[in-house]
Amino acid sequence: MTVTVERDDNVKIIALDGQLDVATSDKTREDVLALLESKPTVINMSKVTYVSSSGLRSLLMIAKSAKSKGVQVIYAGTCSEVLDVFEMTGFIKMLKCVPTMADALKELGE
Amino acid sequence: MLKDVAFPAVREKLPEMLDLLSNEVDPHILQDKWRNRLRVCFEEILVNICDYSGSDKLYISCELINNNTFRFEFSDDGMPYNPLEEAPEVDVDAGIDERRIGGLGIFLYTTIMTKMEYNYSNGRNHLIALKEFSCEEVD
Repeated sequence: MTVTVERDDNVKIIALDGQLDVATSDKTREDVLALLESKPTVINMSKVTYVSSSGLRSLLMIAKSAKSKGVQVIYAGTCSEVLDVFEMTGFIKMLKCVPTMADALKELGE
Repeated sequence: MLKDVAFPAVREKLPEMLDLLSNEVDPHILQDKWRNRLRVCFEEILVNICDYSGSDKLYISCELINNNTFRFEFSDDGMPYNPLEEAPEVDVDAGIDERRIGGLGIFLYTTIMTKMEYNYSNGRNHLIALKEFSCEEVD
């Protein structure tokens, strides 16, 4: 899994690329948490091809941290297989997920 | 069909185990959604054995029965432990603050599989998972 910052001005866009599984989820969580600031953040999920329960745990910890800091986080472009897992576990109701990056930026008034 | 294929019970072998199961199962399953769901289950079950069983080895069996039902069996030589008894409640409607960090893995595999069973026999833990598909979902 690679974590990169695609944009960092009034909005931060963090792109994830790879599988969010037992081998990658802890490091991914640490990397994303280190990048979270107070500004609105979009997590580009379009290249995340798989999420396991350990990946869900990391996403939940990111969501809890963001909420405690008052950071708005939107998840953009999540693929259907990952959305399926989000739906089974209720993450779809807990995380703000939108189909595309354009949708995410529109939500943020961009 | 896989019959008691043995692996060292370590996380480093997880990709090999998952590949073995995928190669056995994926050709029969027509939807990516179900291939992905099964992989989620396999990863959770196998990681738990590697991390907590105390066993040096684990064993994987898999067979397709009645053309539409997969039977998976995961066994290990560790101390008797029934993960199905430990399944915590997961509130899928809970908000971020109320959500507990743990319990998602077992919730996923008990939700995805049609039936889960556990027994301890011949010095091994046996976790058995049955997944029945509709005719449209398997080939």
